[in-house]
Amino acid sequence: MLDQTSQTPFVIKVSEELRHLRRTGQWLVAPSDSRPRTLQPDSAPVTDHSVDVVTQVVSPSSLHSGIGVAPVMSVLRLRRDGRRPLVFRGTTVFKAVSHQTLPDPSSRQPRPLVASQGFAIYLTETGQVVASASMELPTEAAARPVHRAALVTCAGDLHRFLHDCRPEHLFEADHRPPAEDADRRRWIGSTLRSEFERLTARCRA
Amino acid sequence: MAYMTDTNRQEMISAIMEDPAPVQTASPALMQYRIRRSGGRPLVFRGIELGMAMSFSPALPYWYEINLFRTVEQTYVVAVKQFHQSAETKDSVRAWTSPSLGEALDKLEAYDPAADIEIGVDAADTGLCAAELAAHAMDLRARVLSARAHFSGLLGEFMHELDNG
Repeated sequence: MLDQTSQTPFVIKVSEELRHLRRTGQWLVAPSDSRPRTLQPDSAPVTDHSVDVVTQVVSPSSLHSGIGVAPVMSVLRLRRDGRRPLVFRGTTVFKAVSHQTLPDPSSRQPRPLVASQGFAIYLTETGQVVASASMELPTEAAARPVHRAALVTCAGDLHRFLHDCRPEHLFEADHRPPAEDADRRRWIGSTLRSEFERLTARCRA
Repeated sequence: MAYMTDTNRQEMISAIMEDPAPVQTASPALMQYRIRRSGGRPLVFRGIELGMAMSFSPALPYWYEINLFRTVEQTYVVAVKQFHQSAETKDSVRAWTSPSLGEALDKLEAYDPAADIEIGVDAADTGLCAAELAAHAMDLRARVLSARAHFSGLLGEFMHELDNG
């Protein structure tokens, strides 16, 4: 019997056997590559990343000066699109989350637009830097959530990562004529992009 | 037997298994599956479905479905299906067998949805001017990026749910 675990925007069903395999095996851990050292799911308690607070504010350029402070390390699990979660032991050095409720400019959409965005930087116990970002538009049926997490080895990596988190990824390419949503989507993209730039401004410096 | 695209759409949305037929065994969940594959022989096996993920939304022109099975031989089968809202567009189904669960998930991570995108322009049409060809190229690129983002979002959610146990 499959248990449904998620309703929106995807339908996910997971059997009890698969849950058992997840609890007892190492199957979720990907073969090692250039990513931070991964941990077995068994030894890694789930960490909640949905807290709407800025836990610490440290720019990437000052990361190295903060390493000597002996931060509290814990197991972190970062969701990412198209991949297994990124699991590593580390600490959060920067986290910013934004929840926006905006009046929708379209007369066809009486509901307000709800947008959630998050950006965080972590330091692993081995001294590596990991960045994560997320964007969600729960009130938009056609918008798909975006979750990114990646190892950052230099400022160029971080800029590429931030560039990759464009709000355009939230929507499918729309081929339905007429493009009635074009202006609205442009407005959503512009709004999200400015907010994301605000969230990440400290890290772009 | 009808191909999936020929079946009732509503049934297709609600169905998470293809051609399951009960098998007389001790385990009631054990079933016979026959997964049709685009461009290949059907994958036939007996086993149980471990998990599924589906990205259906009426607001989107197509959606993906991912299925994960364990066979009685203790191998793992993953299937990636792309369904279209339009009955005129052919759906695609890909499926693979792997000796371990980890390798089955590797198959999903390695899957490139760009393979599901139709080019949409006749390469033999020499009447297209450079601007038209450029427009087609940009459109194709946008559709490839969209399909990749769509599928990776679904797969990421599936992996996330599994990870949360």
